[in-house]
Amino acid sequence: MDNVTAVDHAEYEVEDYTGPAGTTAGRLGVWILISSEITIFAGLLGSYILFRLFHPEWAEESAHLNIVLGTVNTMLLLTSNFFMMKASTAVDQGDQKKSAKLMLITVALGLAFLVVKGFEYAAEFSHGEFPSKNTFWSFYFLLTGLHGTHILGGLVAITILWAKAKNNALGELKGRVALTGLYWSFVEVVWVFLFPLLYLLREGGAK
Amino acid sequence: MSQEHHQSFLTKYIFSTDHKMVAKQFLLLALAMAVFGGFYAFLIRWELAYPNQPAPFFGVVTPDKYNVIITLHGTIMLFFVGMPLLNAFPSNFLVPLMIGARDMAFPRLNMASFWMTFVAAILLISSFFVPGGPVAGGWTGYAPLSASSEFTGVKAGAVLWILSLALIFIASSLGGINYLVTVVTMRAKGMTYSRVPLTVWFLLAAAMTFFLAVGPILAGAFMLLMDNVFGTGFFLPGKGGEPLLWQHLFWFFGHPEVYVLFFPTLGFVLDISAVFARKPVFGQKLIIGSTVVAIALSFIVWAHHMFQTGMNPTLVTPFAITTILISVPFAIIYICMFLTIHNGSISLEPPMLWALGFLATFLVGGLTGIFLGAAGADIYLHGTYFVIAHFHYTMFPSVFFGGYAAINYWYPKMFGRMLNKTAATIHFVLTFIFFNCTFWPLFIVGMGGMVRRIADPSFYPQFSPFVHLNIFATISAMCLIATQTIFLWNFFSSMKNGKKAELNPYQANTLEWLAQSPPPHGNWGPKLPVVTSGPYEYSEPNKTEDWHTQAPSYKGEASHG
Repeated sequence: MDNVTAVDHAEYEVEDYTGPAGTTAGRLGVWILISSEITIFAGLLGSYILFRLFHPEWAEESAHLNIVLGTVNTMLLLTSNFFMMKASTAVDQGDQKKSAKLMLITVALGLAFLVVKGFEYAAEFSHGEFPSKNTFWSFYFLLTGLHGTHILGGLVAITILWAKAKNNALGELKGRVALTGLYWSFVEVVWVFLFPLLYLLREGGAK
Repeated sequence: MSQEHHQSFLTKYIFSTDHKMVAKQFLLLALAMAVFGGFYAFLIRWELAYPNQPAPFFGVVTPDKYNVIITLHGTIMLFFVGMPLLNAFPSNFLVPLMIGARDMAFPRLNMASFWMTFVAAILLISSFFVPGGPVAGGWTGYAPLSASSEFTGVKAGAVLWILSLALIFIASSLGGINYLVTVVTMRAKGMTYSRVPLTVWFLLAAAMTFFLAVGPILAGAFMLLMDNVFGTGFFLPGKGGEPLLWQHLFWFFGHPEVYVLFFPTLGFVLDISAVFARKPVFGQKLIIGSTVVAIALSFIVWAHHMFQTGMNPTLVTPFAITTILISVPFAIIYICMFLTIHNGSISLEPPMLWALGFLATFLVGGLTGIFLGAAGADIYLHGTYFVIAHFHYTMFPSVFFGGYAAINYWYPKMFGRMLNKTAATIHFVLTFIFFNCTFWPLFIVGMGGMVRRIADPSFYPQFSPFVHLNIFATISAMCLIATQTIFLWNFFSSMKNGKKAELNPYQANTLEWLAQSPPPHGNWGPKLPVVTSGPYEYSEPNKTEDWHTQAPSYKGEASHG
């Protein structure tokens, strides 16, 4: 159906569009998407930080978070990002099969992140730490939950690309690997903010 | 070559990725939702003039229904009429045509944006059919009213309202990304930024402002959703939350949002003024520069909506200063608009009438904004009908005068036929009169101290001096609403019976007038137009014609095949 509805750019002979050199529509689009996403997380993190300043007692709640699992998850995400970048390079070099393998590792690491997060949630629930317990936990579950949703979205996108790449069938989707990698980096950077603000800030501030 | 694709009804009219069809879908959605919004406006005015008497087509507007109605009137008019009518519809229709592209950069994202908006509208309307009815906490959704069902008795309705808004915000940001990417990467050869018409500039300004401002309100929406669904207390003081945080998140978005609904109209009015005054726009670069300043300032004025909340007076002063400062760039743009039509050879075609009507009415809204930006006056006026009058003197001209200007001006390009000029002129004159008769009295009523957000003014004896003004405003409002049927009739009947439109009925320079009316799928012939001049080169000395198109070498469909 696609080839009927979409404007078939190939059917016209000359397309002289003026854009900045090296900027593709997709790349610009992803960057703008990220800029918009930053303001979402900025709104949440800004609210959290303001609350945190006025609630030194949240340090005790924060101490209930599992810092070991949090660290493991940070490592998983950073490593997965490394493999995604490698996958993008592999596509640029024309090696889709290699890229598929690297993307598979990325997906596995991303899934591992979610599994670890799931264990953390389960442990927290079993201690009665629900979103409604107090505002610290509300923020914790909202921030990590929203971030987890972004991880999930990224994993779906990477899985689709992997399914194509393993059959050498990326075709026009080649450029998407780098773009998805860009988005994946953004999701990782969000975690780099969440981890210290939620897990590591255990001192009470003004005592 | 196969420009005429074989498309089924479904792919051509429903799941279309053609930017022009998506634009028409947004336009129809906006008009349909405006019927709801207008009906609620009627009910509000009815209750204020004839409290506790049954309203025609509805019955008695009880206080709880009144709360629902004002909430939905605001939500629908701003997000489901204003944004589709001023952002999505013109951006989709005009951006590719005006920059000489065949379609948007991401046509399928465009389709998704419309259908998400459509689902959002359905979600909002479906809240009528859930227990507890639709949300009743005001269109600003102030916490804690919106955060817990114990205050308004609305639970499912509030959740649906939040989901609906979150969805339309995401849809509009995706649309905005599309418009911006399209302009940056898909301008035709020779279409340098200084040759891009101001309509496109302002549509971009609106899109950028929107997707940079929308994040915090989405964050707030997620928090509000958690408060309603998971029993958290982000905004509930009883649970350790902070209701004022919602106001900060809301207005950080809310103030830029009013510019989102204002910028496109500035673009339409400037372009239309140039065409119907046969003069170049005065100070094109100055206008763009002022807009950039206005966007930057729009992000640091939000607390002027909150002067009454007991915020720290040390903070009030800087926000009052930025608020009054922001009128400077807008004043510059306004003066440029006046200088554009100054000494022009003006022809009072319907689009020009709407543009002039906008200039006259928005001026009142803009100037009364300065009263409210000054914290001292605001603390007295904020809770009164003065704010309602000010708000409607800014938003009605932006959304409706601007929207009607755009529809009147681009109708021939959209549907290939002309609107009935007599009907369009009558529609303008009556709308202009009744709009002023509706909202001008509210300034007086507000200055006199009548407070807003109350259902039954007869309950308060101190408001009895305003009864006659309220009845006058209500009758005017009913006439204003009735007048809009002239437009609806003209809009729909001219599609079939209107005079066939020429390619370029107004002898305008910009690219969209080179395409067929209506433009085919793909917009242009085998070759794209090549742009050689700016959009506003009207009445140049030493030339026989007072206009020349931006792409004189474009052959159109004639050389096709």
